[in-house]
Amino acid sequence: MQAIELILRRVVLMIVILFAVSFLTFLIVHVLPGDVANAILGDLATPDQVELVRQRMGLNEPVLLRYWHWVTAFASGDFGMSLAYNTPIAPLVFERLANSVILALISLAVAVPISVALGVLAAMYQGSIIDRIITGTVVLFFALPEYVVALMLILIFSIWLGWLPGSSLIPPGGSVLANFPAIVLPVTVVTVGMLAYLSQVTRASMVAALRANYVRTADLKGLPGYIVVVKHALRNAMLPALVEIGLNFGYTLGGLVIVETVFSYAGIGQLLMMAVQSRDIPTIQAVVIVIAAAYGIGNLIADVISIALNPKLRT
Amino acid sequence: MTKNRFDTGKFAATRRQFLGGSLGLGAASIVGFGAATMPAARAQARRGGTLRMAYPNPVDKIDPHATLSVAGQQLANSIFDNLTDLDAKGTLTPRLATEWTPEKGGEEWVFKLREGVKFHHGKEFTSEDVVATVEHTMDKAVAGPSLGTFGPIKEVKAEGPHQVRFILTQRFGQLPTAFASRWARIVPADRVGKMADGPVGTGPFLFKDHQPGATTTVVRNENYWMKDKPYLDGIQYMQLAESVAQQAALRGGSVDVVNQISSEAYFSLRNIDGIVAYSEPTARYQILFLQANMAPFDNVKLRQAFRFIIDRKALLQSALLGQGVIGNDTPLLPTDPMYPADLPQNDQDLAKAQAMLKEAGVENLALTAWTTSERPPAPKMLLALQEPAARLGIKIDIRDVPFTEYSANVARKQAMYTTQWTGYYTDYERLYKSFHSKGGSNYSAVETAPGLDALLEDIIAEVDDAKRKELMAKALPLIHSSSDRIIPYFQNFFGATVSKLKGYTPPQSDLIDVRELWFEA
Repeated sequence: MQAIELILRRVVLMIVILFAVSFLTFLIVHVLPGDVANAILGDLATPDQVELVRQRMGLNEPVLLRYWHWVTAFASGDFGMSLAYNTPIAPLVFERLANSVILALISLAVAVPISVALGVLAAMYQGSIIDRIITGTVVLFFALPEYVVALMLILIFSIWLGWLPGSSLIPPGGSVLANFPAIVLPVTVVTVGMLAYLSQVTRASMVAALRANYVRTADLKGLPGYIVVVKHALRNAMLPALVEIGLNFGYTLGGLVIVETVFSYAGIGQLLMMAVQSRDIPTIQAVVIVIAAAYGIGNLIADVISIALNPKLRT
Repeated sequence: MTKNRFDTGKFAATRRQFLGGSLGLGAASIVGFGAATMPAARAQARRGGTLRMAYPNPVDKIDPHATLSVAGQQLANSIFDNLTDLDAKGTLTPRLATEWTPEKGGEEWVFKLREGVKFHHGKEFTSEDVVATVEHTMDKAVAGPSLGTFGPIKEVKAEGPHQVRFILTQRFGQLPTAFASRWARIVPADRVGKMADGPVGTGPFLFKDHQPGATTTVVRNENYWMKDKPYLDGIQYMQLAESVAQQAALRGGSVDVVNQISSEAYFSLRNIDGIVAYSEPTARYQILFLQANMAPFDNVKLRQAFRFIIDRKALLQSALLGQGVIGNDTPLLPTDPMYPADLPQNDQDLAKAQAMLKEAGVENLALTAWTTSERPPAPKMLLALQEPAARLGIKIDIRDVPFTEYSANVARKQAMYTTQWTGYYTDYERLYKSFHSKGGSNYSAVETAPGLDALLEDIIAEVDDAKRKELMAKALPLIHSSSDRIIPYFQNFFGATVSKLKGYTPPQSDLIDVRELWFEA
């Protein structure tokens, strides 16, 4: 019961947060100087032309009224029309979201086992040279901005060695998976960004778990070392790590902006980038809400998993 | 670097002469080039292959009258035909119109249309399509950026199925040139206003697919009215925003062409085997804008003095790595056939500037100069102005703002800022609109030199090129000395292709003739 109540409370909270996010985004875009009419027409347009576009797009209405129109339409599933592309936003966003989810899932699938393995290794040899090398390396990569890592990888693997494509252009009608080489570099960049956090969380939980009494008991029972580590310590240490992975899913989706832009990967991050550049407010709104929802859902899943794994909350 | 584009090597030589600035030689060479190399290129041309062409910004809209991005205009250039055409060197040629005659001294024009041309959906091309298209671009409510693109049209009338009469609001000598413009695409009468649902034209390629913000695909029009053309099976227009990704994609074979790349990308691609990189002069220029209807630049002496502050040669080097042409405060490239040969070059002369400032009667000027880094390398222009201006006692504070803020609050609203202009072919677009006090792009909305308005009116009305040139020789010196625009440089176009792509001519005003492109076996 307690668990269901907890989950319900989280769902309600998520909806409230999404409203807040949508309103804040709307306000922030509104207070920026210049609007879509300026962005689209540039300085070449006469003031008359700008005014005409503004009227046609309803940009002269009060901001709260525009927000209200938008939010009621959005709630009924109508995301509106993209001002920059003059096409309905919903199919655009969901197609892009699907591409981004694929990129995020593949990255997680690569990053999680590596991070867990590195975290466990570092914890088992805590304080040793292995621990320091692992920790040092992942922190170094974490410290490098994604942009730099991406450009370095393109330079090395695409321009110098010529092994992998430096852009992730997917041919029309082609699937991401059928063009796997095209996403190796972006997946690597995202993975490198996640390694530090995930491996350090795993390491910290493992260090705590390895010191716990039940592990000492298992050790003293004479169980082989790997069974103690994997079956006893890791299983318990995974709980916080799983929560982190859930949280990371939303982060990954939102954090794809840079990676997708650098690699021209047709995901939601690239869509957001172009929408911001062209002040395509309805598209910015829709993308931000979708990313915020992804965050929320990621958190929710993490919560559900931790509730499921936590005996204290299960009753 | 232009040498390896054509086997003959002939073009490289003519191009150098052309750029050398010798007007007579240049003009003669262009003709020579057209006659000597084009048939050879055609003889070798081979059908087949899908071209993947990348731009830093994607196709925005598929409606030819609504698109604003260069990729979108290039897409329109592959799906549609204009009535007339300008070849790579700006020479007017027939396209959907076969001949044209001015009447009443250029107040009316009669165009004969090509027969036997069909739209992609099967409809025959006739005068009703021209009338419907032109009327669409005259309607303020729907025309968008194509508003007025066909010129100052009062009325357009069909005279039988293959002849159209244009009645103008004023005499306009370059109407046929205006018809070649990027928004003057002919659409079928039964689809006017419906292009966003799927563009249908008479052009060399058929629209196939559009993924907004990603890839747009066209395939060959097998029934194109130019026999044997186009050569390509199809074209995919794609977006590659990052310079490093553009280079990697071209080198790795993910794309065949990257257009509008940075000068840095050009320098790193130009020595790579299997790639041809282009840096070619264009009529695109950046401007130090002095708002002539605002203090202190409503003082013509001050506008004149500012022409002698920037070291243009040094700026060209630092801002464009030498890849451009020094400007002389008129929108015409010095190689333009209409450029007056005796126009003196404005350049840094601080003593002269000092004397003119004194004449202008201004002292201790403190100004704010606005720019946006989203239009590189404009901020460098202000840096090149700031230091010598300080030596003359003018304090300049530079403000770099985002482009949207710039569009909303700077252009036309501040006294001094940078801006940029694309090259145009008609004098209406490149001179009248920018410098006539009633011109839509005259940000100052004043006549910056006495008599300029009248001269510009005569220039656009004149149907005879020789007479127009005489008028230009009077108008351009006024613009050169007194207008609100200081033009320190013209920017080169940078692009690169795989070397097996043939028929690629770097564009003078953004667009490439895709009918000429073909892949070597």
